Amino acid sequence: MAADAPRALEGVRIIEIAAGLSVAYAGKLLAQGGAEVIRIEPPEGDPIRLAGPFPGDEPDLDGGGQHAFLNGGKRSVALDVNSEGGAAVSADLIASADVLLTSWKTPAQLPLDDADAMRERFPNTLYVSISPFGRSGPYADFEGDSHVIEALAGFSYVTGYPDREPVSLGVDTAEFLGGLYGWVTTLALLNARAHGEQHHHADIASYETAALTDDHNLAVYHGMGLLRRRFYSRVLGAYPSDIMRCRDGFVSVVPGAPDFATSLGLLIDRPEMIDDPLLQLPKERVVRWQDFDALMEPWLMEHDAAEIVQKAQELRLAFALVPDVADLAADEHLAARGFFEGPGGEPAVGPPVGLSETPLRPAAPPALGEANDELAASSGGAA
Amino acid sequence: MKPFDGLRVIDLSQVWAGPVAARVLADLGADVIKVERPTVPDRIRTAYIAQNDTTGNYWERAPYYTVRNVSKRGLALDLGSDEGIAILRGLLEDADVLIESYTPRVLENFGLSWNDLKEQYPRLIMMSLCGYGQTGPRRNSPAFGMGMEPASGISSVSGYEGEPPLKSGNTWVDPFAGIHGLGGLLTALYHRERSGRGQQVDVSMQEGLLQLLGPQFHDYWMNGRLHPGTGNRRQGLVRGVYPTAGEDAWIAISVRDEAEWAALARATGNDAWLDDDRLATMAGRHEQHDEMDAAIGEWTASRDKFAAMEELQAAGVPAGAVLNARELMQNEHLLDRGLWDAQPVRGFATVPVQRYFPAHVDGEGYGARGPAPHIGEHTDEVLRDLLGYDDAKIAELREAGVIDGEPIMLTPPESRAALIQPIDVFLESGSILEVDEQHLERMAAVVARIEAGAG
Repeated sequence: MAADAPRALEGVRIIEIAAGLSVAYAGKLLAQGGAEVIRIEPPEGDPIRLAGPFPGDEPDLDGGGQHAFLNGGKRSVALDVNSEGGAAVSADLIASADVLLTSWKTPAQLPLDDADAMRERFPNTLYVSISPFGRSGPYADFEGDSHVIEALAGFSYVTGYPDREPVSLGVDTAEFLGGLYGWVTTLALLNARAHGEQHHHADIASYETAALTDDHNLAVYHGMGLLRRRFYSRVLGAYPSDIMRCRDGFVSVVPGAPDFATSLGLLIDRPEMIDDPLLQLPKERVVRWQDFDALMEPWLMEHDAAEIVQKAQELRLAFALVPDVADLAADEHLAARGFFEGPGGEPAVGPPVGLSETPLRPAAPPALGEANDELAASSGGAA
Repeated sequence: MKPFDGLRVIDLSQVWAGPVAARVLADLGADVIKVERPTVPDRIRTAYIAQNDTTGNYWERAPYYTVRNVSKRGLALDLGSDEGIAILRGLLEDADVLIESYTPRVLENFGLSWNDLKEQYPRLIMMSLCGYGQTGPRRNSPAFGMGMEPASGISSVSGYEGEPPLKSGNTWVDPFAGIHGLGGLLTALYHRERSGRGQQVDVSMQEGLLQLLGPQFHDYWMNGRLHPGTGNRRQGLVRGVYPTAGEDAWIAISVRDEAEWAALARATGNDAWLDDDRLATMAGRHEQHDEMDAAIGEWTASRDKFAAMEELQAAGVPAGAVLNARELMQNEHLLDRGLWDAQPVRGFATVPVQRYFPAHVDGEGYGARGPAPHIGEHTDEVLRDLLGYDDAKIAELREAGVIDGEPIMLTPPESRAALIQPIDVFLESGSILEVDEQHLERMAAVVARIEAGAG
């Protein structure tokens, strides 16, 4: 991508008061769009800096992987928002900004838990707060990370094996959803402001952003009263839909295809099965999934994932590899798209979406307090 | 006034990820015109039909379709005909946004790719969403959300310890990708405000999902380490899912720091842990996790999951009851916050439909503005109002099959039979807990609360 491409959010100033993954992710995406994102964090460094991973597991406030991923392209002002001086600097920065991004629970000498007071004090700044459960409602004071939120949002009950405990995923989906909606909400309201409408406060609950994704399980309950449980890696009422073993690992199998029966019969070298109801009728596969597995598994165990997926895709079956991070880091398709090309030639996780004229751009993260002299001093307060 | 009043969006997308992005724009005020081929409508219409009843126009009775398409207008248009393409191009003259979710080759074949459109519609923002994006060797590979969790490495870090990679039973992947696409689209819209220029938004579902693996990628690059599934456990945390009183009832607990650790020990009657040298650090607790889990599980097992959650949260321990879909629909916090709107699945019932833009903005929410359209429900008004067609011309197009037709693949008896869900098989296998015979009454009670202003 051209280094001189215009930045969509050029001239937009965001103040982010560090408050967990969601807030950091929203700020990161705004920074990638070209906004000036100034991150206020404690003098000893925000916990994200200490979350690692670190090269050789040696802790380094400026060298952590989570920090590199979530804080790329931001400025850093290190100060104590609970101190009088720190609060004064923060207030000056907020007053100078288009958007304040934090959680209403952040301890600070600022009325973050009172939207009206914030509006009075900062009438020209949109205050976007992201918290686990939002500012209102019976759970407003609850605490929780993705593991807890996803349990309440219906994820965990349907994830895992039927004879074992529910399990959460190995990633922080709910907190990232909260951050994703922080980004989208900020952008929607910046667009509204461009038409002359100034909004003051947006209250985002990661719990809601996770719960709204559960429409599969809600829809089968609404429509039929079915209470879905966890059942391996499968979708209800569609088969095959699972992660299946093959000779050298795993493949992801899904049922959608223009002509599933022909494609599958050709894939597994059993053309005589193409007219069999087991391949022809979607419901037959759901009912007789053990028979289907018995047909499929021997062939899978004689082939490697790469050749299975290549042949399947040629037959327009949406089968996929089950790559790990090492596979993805070496993936030709992602390399061709330049997805891992980070700042300074270092590898980085690329932006989530491509824009042809104003590409989102990954950038290096700031050293702790690198902007203190420039920004805190000019505000007139004492950091 | 809503943020996108006056914005016009042409929505060619199908199934889930694209339609969700378009729906948010509609909820926020945009005029979103959902375009479907009359003979081959959005395939999501055939998924999980209300009451498992596939008679009549069953494709208008899918709650699954409804939630993604409320607030939109419906236009039936055969893009396989020259007239259909001409109508679409006519609509693009005054459109701000075009959303589509095919693999790139499809619109290239129709002459509707970004390269075909960008000169003629320089202000247009075109969001193209597919599994792997608009460029690269896998650009045309077919993909569905259900396969993208494994294809994006999420499954490789998930699952029980020592067991194969695992995919969740919640299809969060589609809205995750679609809303990331929306963020790109809104960034482009903001740019257009100042530059007057549109652009293409290239949404790879895979690249959206890879955002979740930031630390894992860096650990691989730094230290060559991979992180296969460790169940509910995570380094640096005390975390688990524990049984509570009742059938298949559970509570999730996640302790992140010393204050929460002390609160957990005291709340569950394990004060002795606080004097136990083995448990003085998170690393030590991780080594003794089995022992602690047994004690925590003993405490939770005799309690109702909601009561245990309240007790633990009051003590300062992050804890959440594991909810099924019925409990999610009935959840007090979500009802109080107004996550659901009451909207009809016409021909079935009024159902709680979730907001896909759940932010509370200055005390206001942005929910569904009207029912999901039937196939081509607004064809006449769209052609009349936006393109100035008269009745004769509309009749001619209808006659020619450009804007009308039977969804012929959906009507044969064998197609109808194939879509009836084998509920007895689900029950027998254990993939559902039960069929709730009172679900209509329970849903109606929730709808009544929503209509009364919840709270």
